[in-house]
Amino acid sequence: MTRALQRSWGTLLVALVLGALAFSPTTSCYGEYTRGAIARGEWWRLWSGHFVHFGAWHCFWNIVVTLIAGLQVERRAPIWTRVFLALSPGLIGAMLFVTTPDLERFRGFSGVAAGLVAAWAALDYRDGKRSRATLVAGILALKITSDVFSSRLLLSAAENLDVVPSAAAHLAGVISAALLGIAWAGARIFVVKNQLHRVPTITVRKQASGSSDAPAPIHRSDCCSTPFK
Amino acid sequence: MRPTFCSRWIPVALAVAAAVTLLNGCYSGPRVRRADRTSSIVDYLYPGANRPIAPASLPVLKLPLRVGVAFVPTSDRASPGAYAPPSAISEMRKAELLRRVAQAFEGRDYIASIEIVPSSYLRPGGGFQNVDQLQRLLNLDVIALVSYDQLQFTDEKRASLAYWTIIGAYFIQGNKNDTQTLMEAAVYDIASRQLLFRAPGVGRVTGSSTLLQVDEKLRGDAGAGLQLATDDMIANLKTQLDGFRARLKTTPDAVAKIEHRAGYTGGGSSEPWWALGLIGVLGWTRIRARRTARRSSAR
Repeated sequence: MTRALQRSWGTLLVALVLGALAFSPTTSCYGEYTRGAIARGEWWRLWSGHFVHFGAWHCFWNIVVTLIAGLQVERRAPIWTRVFLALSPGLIGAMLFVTTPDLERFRGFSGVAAGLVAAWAALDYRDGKRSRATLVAGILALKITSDVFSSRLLLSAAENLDVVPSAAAHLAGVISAALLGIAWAGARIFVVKNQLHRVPTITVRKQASGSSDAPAPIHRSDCCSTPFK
Repeated sequence: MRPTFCSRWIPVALAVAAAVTLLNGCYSGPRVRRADRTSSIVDYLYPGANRPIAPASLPVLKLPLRVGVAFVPTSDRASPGAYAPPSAISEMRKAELLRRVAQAFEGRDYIASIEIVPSSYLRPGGGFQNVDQLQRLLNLDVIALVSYDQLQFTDEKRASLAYWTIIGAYFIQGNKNDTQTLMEAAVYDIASRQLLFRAPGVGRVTGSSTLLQVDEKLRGDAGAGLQLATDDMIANLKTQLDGFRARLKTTPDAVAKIEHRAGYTGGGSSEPWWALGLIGVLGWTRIRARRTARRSSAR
């Protein structure tokens, strides 16, 4: 139990915060993404807008998806997940600010949740669970496509008819997951390379058979195959 | 010389004949009279057309909507000798009714603004060309056209026989008045010429009056009838607006295509089907893993 908590506290903490903020309308007003306010210098709204919601159901379903995807990802890439949960809201907010000038107000965590789902699919693919990776990626693609092409209104926020599901936020979530994944992999490769250069003697596996003096070859893939860890 | 029978009674007979003739001029016996005030949406939107033109396509609604509210131009008809002279509702009264209709649209998140269109902007039989002009002039998406049909009848009861006495015309309520009003607000998407929804309202006022009060009473009844019909129409309009909102949410593609203008509100939404789909994937994986484990243990 303790170990499971250690492996998933980032996602659980975020879910707890989302649930707590759902019942605080004042915080929602001060925290929501409002283009005009951001332009006036309230930059925190780029980040905080994702943590507030339009209603209890809106928040509930976002928490469900965050928990499903977040626990899957954090179990396998704990540090990356926590970094993603901390940084991606700001990244997504910035992308929305640059790419969607018509969007005046925004609330909701599903952009980050979409990023987590994309990371889940990527991890499954890396770990050889190809069919599940395809299914997860397919469901994500279907969600984004339906948001882009459907005229449906935001059903989760039952009280707000003029709130539309933001396909841009979901796309931005996937892009931020990809960017942070690439950055993470790059950082790991950089660190490992530096370690290889600095440490004069590295672990040498002796060959089972043959000369004991000959060192076993070290493959690049041994160091860099798991960028998400 | 003594007056003869003829010379005594002829003036009396002439006086009675004159009185009867004069009384007949005032009152010519029981009958039904009616006045009809009407403003027809069909006459206004489709002048001279036998069949309304089919709407062009599925409406494209850009939320939030800019709504105009207007009274359809009126035409009055009256039967010959009608008591109440037919007259259109005054502009002041129309403005008051339209303000009440506009209030029904207020406070709805999918409506950006409500514009009351003065009657002078609408031409009788102006059709959609006139509505297009209003759209450009007032920057509207949707227009709520308010029309009404008011029928007033007055007929005389048995008590109206007392009118023969002249004094009866002042004090005996021998006239039975009936005012029936039908109002309707039809909300059109201007671009597609599609009727989005309509809300009717009815009002009926009945009463009695003396011969000399008929005009005044009928005018009062006309106002009261309009008031009743407006109340009923506004209640129905609110129901229709709520129903329209519900239809937009549940079956939007059947009602209209929804677009959003600059300044819209977006939500990062994880809908139930998405969450359930992911749960389904997890469940499927678990079932598959168990089967594989069983197979390997069986071997």
